[in-house]
Amino acid sequence: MHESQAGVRIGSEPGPALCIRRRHRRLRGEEASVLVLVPVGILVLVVLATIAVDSAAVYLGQRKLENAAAAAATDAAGALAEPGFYRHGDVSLDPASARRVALSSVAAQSLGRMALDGPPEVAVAGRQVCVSLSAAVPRVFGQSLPGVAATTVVRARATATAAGDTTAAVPRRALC
Amino acid sequence: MVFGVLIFMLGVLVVANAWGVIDAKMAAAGAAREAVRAYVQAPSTSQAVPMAHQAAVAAIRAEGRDDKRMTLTMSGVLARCSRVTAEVQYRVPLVSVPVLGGAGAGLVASARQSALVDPYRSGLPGTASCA
Repeated sequence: MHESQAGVRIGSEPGPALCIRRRHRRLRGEEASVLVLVPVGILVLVVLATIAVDSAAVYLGQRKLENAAAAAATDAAGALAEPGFYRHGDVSLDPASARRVALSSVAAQSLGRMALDGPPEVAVAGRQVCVSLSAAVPRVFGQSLPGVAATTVVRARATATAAGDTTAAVPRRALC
Repeated sequence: MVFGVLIFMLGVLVVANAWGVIDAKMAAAGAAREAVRAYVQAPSTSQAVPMAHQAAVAAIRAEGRDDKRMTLTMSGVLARCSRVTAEVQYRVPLVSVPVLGGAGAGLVASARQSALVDPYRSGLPGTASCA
């Protein structure tokens, strides 16, 4: 046995056969941890992916609901109080007509598998109308996961203003 | 190990397809919305369908999708207080690989949007009473 200049022992290095044996022993030990790590890693990836897809599905539902609310509000903005409009040129909405139009519009929209949580709320002030909707969006993968809610409640509001008048519009927050 | 990789690939494929369908549904919803707005605002009946189709194609292209996979169906007439509905269907390939493109018959993502023709529009038939 002798020492090199760097102080490393080179005379006592194990032979190749011993190295291979030790390596095999080490690998046998790591095989067990791989058996645990790979399924856990895949499980984490799958859970993350399902969360991503479910979030996208909820976002899609939210957008659908916003589209429905916007369409209902736009349709309801045409429900003018006709006597005042034809006699004096006043542009103001008839609350009862606007509500009827908004409800029929919401019923005509395609909401897919979403279910409205309650009747649409329609608020009218002057020439403005606000439609508020609330619906439960079913999750894609969440339905099959224990402990995860099968649906998510989303809300959407839309305001529309009848054009043709110069009076100031009501601030949206005051309306809905 | 091979079994695990296969399951992983299958899972990735399922999730990617689910995401593809959701994304296509969003694109179809946007196209239907644009189409129905274009239709109800068209100056005449003869121009309404071409304008709606043009708007839908522009919307679907804006989402980076192939408009040849899209079909647009309009129902309703261009008259005051008439309800017009646009339905967009988009074929999503079963397997989509970046650069190589899609394969398989795939699924159909559809979206529907309806709107009322303005009751006070000029130049159209019908009465100005929608309620």
